[in-house]
Formats: sequence, structure tokens, C-alpha cells
Amino acid sequence: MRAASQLMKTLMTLSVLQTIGIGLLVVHAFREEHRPAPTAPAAQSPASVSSADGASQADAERLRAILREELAQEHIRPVQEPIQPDPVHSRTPSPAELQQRDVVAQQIEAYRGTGTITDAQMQELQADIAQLDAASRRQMLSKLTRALNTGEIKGRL
Amino acid sequence: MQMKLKQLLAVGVLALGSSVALAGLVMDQPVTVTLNADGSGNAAGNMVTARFSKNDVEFIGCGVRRIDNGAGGVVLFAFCQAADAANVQGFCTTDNPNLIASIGDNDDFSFITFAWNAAGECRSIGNSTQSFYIPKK
Repeated sequence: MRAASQLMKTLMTLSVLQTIGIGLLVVHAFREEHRPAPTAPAAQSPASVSSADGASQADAERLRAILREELAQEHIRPVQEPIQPDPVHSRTPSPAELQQRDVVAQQIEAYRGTGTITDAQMQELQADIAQLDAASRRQMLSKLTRALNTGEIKGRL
Repeated sequence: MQMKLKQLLAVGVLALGSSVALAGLVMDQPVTVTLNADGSGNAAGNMVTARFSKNDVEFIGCGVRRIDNGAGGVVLFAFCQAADAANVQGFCTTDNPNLIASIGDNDDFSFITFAWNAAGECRSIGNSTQSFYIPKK
């Protein structure tokens, strides 16, 4: 009986100590929460600027305004920038180059008319095609190759 | 004497037969040319088979042209061409440096394959150099 009373006393003491400890922890946490934040450094993001600091708040507002402007401009800008044309391959041929290309085109037409091209004639034609600008050269090689593939011109490259 | 001659002949035939049997795999690959309605097509074949075919039209090969353009530059382009036994012909040209480079891999006994688009531009150029494309002795 005496031992039970002693145990009860110990438990009560522990309970009181536990309650005091919890109370102290609550007070400490409350103080921490209401302590004013240290001044934000210049590089800190606007989101972390303390509302108590008027100057920082103004900075944050300016940053927000800049961000809004940037976002608005981004919205206006087309999604994909137009692809810059390749200056070598897509430049407009000069009148002289066009004239040269037409001469080669007429030669190919002439061979289509006769239906054949000799090896020597083919060498000459290819030499003429080589003098053309890149776009015209590709165009004329394609014209010649298609004529060979369709059998309109009999010969070899 | 006649018996000896027969024996010699038998040995000769056997020797010849064994040499043929040890010649390794030989594979003929005649040229094929496919022309599509839109102008595209493809061709393939072994150069040796084409060269020694029983007709005078079959051929296959690729080549490179480097031509002085008269303005201080050299124009480079390449071509492939083929004709099958029925003289169906296929051609393509290209100025694509990577395709042109592949032509350099062709050998005397190469099997060659190439394909082109509707504009007659080469879209692929391939080759395979194998012992079985080398002609029989």
C-alpha cells in the first residue's frame, strides 16, 4: 500500500514536469514566429522580401512590373521565329545567272527533242551546269536526271 | 598404255573437280531497276555480274564530278546510274557531301545500291564488298 502511494507520487511529479516543459516549448515557438525577419540582401528574390521593409517592397513591385511587361511582350511575340533563309542557296539569282540557267535549260530541252545525248555532249552539258549558281545548278541537274529516268533522253551521266 | 592414260584422265578430272569445290561461295546479283510513278526509284546490283552478263546493256556504278566553275571554285557533285537486262535505266545526282563520300567506298567487286526521289536526287547510296561478288576463276 505504501509502495503504491510512493509510485503515484512519482508519476504526479513527472506529469507536472512534462506539462511545464510543453508550456516552455510553446512559448519559445510563439516568440520565434513573431520575431522580425532580417533585412533581405539585394540579390534575394522578390518573394522573400519582408513586407515590413518599405524599400524592399517597392523593389519587389518594380520587379513584378518588369516581369509583367516581359511576359506581355513574350505573349505578343510569335511562338516560332521565322527561319532565316540560307543566303547561299536561297538568294535570288542575278539576271545574268538566270540567263545562263535558261541557256542550259534550252540545251536539255534540245536533247529531249533528239532523245539522245552522247558521252561527249553530256560532259559539255555538265561543265555548263557547273557554271550556274547553286540553286540553278541543282535545278538543272534535277531536270536532266528526270529526263534520263523517264527515258526522254537516252544516255549516261 | 591405254590403261595408264585413263588413270591419268581420272586423276585430272578429280583434281579439277576438287578445285571447283574449293572455290568458295559465288553469288551473282544481276542489276535491278525500279521506277516509281512519281519519278522516284531505286537500283541495285553487283558490278561483276553486270559486267559479265550475257547482254550488252546491263551496268551499274557511281561517279564523282569536280568541275572548275570558272570563278575560282570547283563544283562537286556525284551521280549513280544503272540499267537492268531489259535496259530499264535509273539515274540520280547529288551534291550532298556525305552521300558523295560513300561513293569512295565502292570497290571493283562491290554490290551497289542507290535510291532517288521524284526530283532525281540521290537519297541513299550504299555498297557491299564481299568475296562472293568476286568472279569465278
